[in-house]
Amino acid sequence: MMMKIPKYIKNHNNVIGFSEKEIDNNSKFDYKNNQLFLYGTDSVYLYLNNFSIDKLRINVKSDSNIKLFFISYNTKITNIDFNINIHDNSVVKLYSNFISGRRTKQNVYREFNLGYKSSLILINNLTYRGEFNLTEFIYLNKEMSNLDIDLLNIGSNDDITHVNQYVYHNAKKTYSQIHNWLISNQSSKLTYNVNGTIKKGKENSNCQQLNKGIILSENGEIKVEPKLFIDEYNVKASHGAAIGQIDENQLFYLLSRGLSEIEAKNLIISGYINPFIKKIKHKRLETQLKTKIRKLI
Amino acid sequence: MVLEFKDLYVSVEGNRILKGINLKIMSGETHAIMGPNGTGKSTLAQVCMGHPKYKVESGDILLDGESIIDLSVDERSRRGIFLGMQNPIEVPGVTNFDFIKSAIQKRMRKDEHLRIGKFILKYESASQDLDMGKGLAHRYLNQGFSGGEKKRNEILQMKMLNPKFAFLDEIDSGLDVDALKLVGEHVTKQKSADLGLILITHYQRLLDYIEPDFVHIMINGQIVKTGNTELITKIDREGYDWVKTELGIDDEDDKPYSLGNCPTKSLV
Repeated sequence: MMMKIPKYIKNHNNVIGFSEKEIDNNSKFDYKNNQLFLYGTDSVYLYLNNFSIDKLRINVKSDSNIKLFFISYNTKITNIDFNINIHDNSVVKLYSNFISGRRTKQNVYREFNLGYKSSLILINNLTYRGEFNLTEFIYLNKEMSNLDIDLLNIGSNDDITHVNQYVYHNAKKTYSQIHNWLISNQSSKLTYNVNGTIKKGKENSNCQQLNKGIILSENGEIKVEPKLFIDEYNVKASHGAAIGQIDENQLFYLLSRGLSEIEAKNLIISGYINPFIKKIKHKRLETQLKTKIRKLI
Repeated sequence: MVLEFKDLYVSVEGNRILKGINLKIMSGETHAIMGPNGTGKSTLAQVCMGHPKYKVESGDILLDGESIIDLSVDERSRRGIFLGMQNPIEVPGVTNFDFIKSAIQKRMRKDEHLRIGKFILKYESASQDLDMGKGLAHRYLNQGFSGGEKKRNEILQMKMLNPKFAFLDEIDSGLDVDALKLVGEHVTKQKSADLGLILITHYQRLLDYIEPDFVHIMINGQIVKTGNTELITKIDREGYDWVKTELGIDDEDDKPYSLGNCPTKSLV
């Protein structure tokens, strides 16, 4: 393998590396004509090194259980455009980490189509230096398909993040939950447009949105617009955004036990982030993220 | 050691709450501060701990003769002041273990190291003594705790941190009879020649288990009467009106000022 792939990825069984020079498929899965076919129960690592993807299609066959790790590393502007079709009775857990080696820009567009009783678990780690734009459409096309998104976005310096999330409940008894954990430090600006749509007749569906944000500095900014478009009575739905600074009462409580202000704030922030980190369930990636967070905050 | 409030005047958002508090607490003594709602009892404890919402207008708080009013909250804590809160705050995602470990480590000298094994044993033993159940160390700080558990967790922290002067602000509220007895007995066990205790309460029931050396009645931001346990019995029987009548206190125009309940849940 010529491409420089980090050791913690390289040593796994199914790794597909993408760079300008080559696409190196070191996995059991077929990749041809911009299409990747996944099946069975496996972990798959997609590593993109300064690579722009145009209309990659990933097909997950029925009755599969796939853990997909999507890690991109950039030092220049890249555009990523892909979609994942999850066929009936399949589960996909997609962990995405977008890494920038220097301040740069990345545009990511993703589409997901879910089949009958299929599940999509998205864990998005956005700690990108520079400008990051993410737009994702998730279509819950068949009954009992379900979606769970956890997204952590930590902005520092003058980072800019724009995220558009669109969830469409196109079938009855579909479920979606979005939980965005946002932290703005220094002059970073995070903008979120969170949309959930339940179409007429798609009864017994459930659409939940939860957005939490902490602004750590005077110039930091978090804007969230949680929106629900519901055209059916017999559904459950909720949305909300709670954005503020570190809670003064929490801070006072920790200080009153002798912790310094910096330690107390770090503890509160790590407490805020920990539930996200625990969802990754990959020791190496969890440690990597914790180290990065310590540097950013 | 001695903790002393000298002619202390304190306001919050322009409203004067404490109006000349003079009080001296020696190590080994237990003081009970009683009084009607909104008379400044909790303010006294919060000010001593250094809560930023309160403004000390004049007067001083001395710890062994040295003023602490310019010290930060954490510095006061490390000097030995402890506040067992009326509404212990929930801190999601932070485990009791990480929290108390950090607090203890912060108190250690630079050349000292925390012996984790010994620390865990001490913590678990204290936790069992207070009937906190297994797994407390890994539960998030006060999150999902019942009212009684929160109060017992305050006592547990006090036990672990070993303060010199401890304010227990309405530690009896939210406790059922059994929990009250448990907390009372454990606080009494912690009484020593090195600990000054200040109990803030409305009721006799806590003081049935923790016998104070001095009882102070606070009305309208001032300590108006000091006595012994006989005062408690009389207050429990007759309320505070007799004190006002006896001392000629007219507090009709002094509406209690409250910042509201301390939130126990954060927005974020």
